[in-house]
Amino acid sequence: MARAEAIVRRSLNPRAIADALVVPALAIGVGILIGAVVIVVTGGDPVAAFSALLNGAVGTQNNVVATLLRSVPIAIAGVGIGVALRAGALNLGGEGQMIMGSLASAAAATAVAGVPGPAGIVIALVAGCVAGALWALLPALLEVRLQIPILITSLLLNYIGALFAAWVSSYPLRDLSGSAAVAQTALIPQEMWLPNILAGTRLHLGIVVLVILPLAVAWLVRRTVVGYELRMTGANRLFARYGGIDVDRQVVVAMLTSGAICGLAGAVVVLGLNHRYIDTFVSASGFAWSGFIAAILTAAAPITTVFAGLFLGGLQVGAAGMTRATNIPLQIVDVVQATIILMVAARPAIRAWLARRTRAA
Amino acid sequence: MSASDAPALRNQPQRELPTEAAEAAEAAVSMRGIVKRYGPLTAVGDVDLDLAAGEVHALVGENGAGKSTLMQILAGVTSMDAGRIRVRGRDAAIRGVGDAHRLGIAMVHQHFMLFPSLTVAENLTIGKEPRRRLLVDRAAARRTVTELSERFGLTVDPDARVRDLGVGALQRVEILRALLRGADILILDEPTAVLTPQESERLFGVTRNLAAQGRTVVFVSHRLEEVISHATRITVLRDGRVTARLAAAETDIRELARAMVGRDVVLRLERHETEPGRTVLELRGVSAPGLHDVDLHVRAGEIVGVAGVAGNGQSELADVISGVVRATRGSIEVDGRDVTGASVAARRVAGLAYIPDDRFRVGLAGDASIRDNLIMGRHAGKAGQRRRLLDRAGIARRVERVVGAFRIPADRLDSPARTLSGGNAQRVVLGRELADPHPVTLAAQPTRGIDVAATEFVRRALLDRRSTGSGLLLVSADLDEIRGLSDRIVVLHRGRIVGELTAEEADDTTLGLLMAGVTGTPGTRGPGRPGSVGSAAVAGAPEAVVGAPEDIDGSR
Repeated sequence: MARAEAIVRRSLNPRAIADALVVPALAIGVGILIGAVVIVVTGGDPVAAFSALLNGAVGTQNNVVATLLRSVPIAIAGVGIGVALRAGALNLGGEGQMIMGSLASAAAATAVAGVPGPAGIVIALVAGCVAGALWALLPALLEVRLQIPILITSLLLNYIGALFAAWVSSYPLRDLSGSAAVAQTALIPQEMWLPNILAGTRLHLGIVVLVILPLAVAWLVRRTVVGYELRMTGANRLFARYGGIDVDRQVVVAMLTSGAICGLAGAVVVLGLNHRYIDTFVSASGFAWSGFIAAILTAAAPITTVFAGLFLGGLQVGAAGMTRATNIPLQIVDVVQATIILMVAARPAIRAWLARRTRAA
Repeated sequence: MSASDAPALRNQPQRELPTEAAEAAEAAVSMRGIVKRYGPLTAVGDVDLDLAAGEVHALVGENGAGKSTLMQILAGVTSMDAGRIRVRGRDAAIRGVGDAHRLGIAMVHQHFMLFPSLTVAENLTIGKEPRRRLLVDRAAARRTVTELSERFGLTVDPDARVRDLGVGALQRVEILRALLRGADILILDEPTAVLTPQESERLFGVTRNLAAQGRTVVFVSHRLEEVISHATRITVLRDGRVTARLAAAETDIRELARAMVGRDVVLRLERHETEPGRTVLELRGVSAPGLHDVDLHVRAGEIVGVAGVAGNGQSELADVISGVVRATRGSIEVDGRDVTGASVAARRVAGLAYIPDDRFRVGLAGDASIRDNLIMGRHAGKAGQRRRLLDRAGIARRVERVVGAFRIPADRLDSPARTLSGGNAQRVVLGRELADPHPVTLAAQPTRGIDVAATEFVRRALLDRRSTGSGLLLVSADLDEIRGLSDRIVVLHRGRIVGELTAEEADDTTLGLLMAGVTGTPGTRGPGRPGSVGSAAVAGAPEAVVGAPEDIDGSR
């Protein structure tokens, strides 16, 4: 566990932002290459497969919209997880925080049904943020007070959150009107839906978050005193403490912010996409884990994290298209993603290899 | 192995020793055209070095001059890119530590590599224990160690547990281990860095002894006095090249320093008399983990030096003053304000500047930019302010001012701090801490590991600070530094202040005895604690009471 933590931490230091272009490009390139090798080995045609994948991701307007819809929660969660990473906290609880955010926003949207449109939406979004933040607060306090690593507690809280949400959507808030096999809450009133912004598609206003959020986080981290203290806490806790920064407080603040943003990602799924809480949807989609990949791939730089989120969303949607067009299994995407994670974790080794190559040249 | 092999330890590794007089006259080691590059950096560039049998050879140079790299090449720790090494007149291919050992070359590193829970004899014989049937023959092992330690004057108790030994004794064990391996070319890397003056003297007694027996001793050092008094020949390196080969008897410190730095260096800085003002730092009966009942005060315009063997409470003292660790008893005042329970930030506001002892671990964030490192503690505005946004214009002005005053490389402000050399890193720390007037400055090991030129700069900065009326507490393992800069000196031993001296009273003997915990020596004032130290210590075995870092909790 500690080793894994060290590896992820090492791949996250601000110096990595300098090679922000080399490593992600190399990681993605090798990921695709290994994906191609697997396709060839299993008797497929990699060129056909990847052109089908590209087409599935961005080939038509519908496919572009599908990619965007999938990328929105991934990118938001990625930015959220990145905030904690910048303070040196490994928030693996993004999924639990998203689930709690989804559930809370669905419940809030139903509860405040009478409130006129925008205000109601804001209340539901805020409810999602608060729920996510609270779900992230417990691991932060456990680390600060009792030195139990956030890495472990935040991860384990995912299961508790998922089971709690399963119970809530199966019993107290279960939608009994339909005949859906899966547990879900009632459809929220239509005025609570995030407005559609492209007629004929499901594209919703949540996409705006992808523009505003990374800019806001980048500004917070680079221009504010709290942001400076957060970065220094992540860069060297001993140094931060020596300089008079309340390191424990920074960890709590970073986790609260991180959890709130992950909760927002969950709320956007409910208010923009499904319009209700559907049990297991968040975990089955793997939004938070894709977000985590996006964050570590870009060393938690918020703006590039969004682009990484768009890439991963496109990869996943495109793979679905590829599976329909060819008979190559969807799991090929997992191979590509796993390779990317490996490459990012191996960043120090890659850097050493590059250094050796340049010296030899 | 059978019982008859019991004294096998004396069977040194097989190798061909020079038998003829002609061969013996040849250099023990001759290194020619040695080159070692790290990427674009040339650590060692075309160096020739001859080591004769029967000499004590000193290798001096600033940090990064290449002296350690050169020795690591000889000891097989590092490979070379070009060059030729001959040992006792024969071409030698040293591809690893094993090759070096077979050639009789061994290096004693700064960090000891011993098993703390085993005895000295067990540590020394591990892997090649003398056996009696299936059992380890402890008596034989002990005999071997005793015999060897007597032969070389390296007194150690073979039955002592390594964890109970002081640094001086640990070093002797390491040297014994090298000799047991049959080393007759012994490399000591900064051997006196952790020793009291008496222990250093003792060590050099041993090296003289070894040289007299025809062995070769090379030691790496940056303490010019000891180099001149204890080496036979001196090789000076600068930027990976040899700048001087000197006979110790025919040179002086000035010439050595010039060869090291490339210009004249002022090592002993002029200390103007000042009239100490009001008390700006006061500790009354302060206890904390590793510290016991410390009374200490610093007045405006004076430097108080804290001397002691490493690990006797120096870092604990710095921690408790800076606020990283809270005092369990007693009170601390900064500039008349009680800060006993105050946070680090509050102490900074009260007027404390702090240069920590470990600049890369504590004093800097290596991955953050130099600019970010320069504003720590002032990022929220002036002392006591709490802005919400970073004041970018104010930060830019401050950074510009500090960079100019402390000669920090200005073109690299956005590079990570880890890319700085030790000296430049310390300039960043100094610049940050000394850019604004503070009533109290706490400086811990301010020149450790930095080169002569940067050392001069740092000492000057501290004296400037003093003349502006700041009170300084200087914690340093470098006794020359303590004596050269301090108005008063206190000595820490096992977390207690065991004596206070003026700079004039602090000769090597007096300081050394206090550092070893021997109190009641004529010429010392302050809290002598008779009975706290056994009389054996006075009888000339100071290492017996020099605390290893782990037993400074005073549980005696």
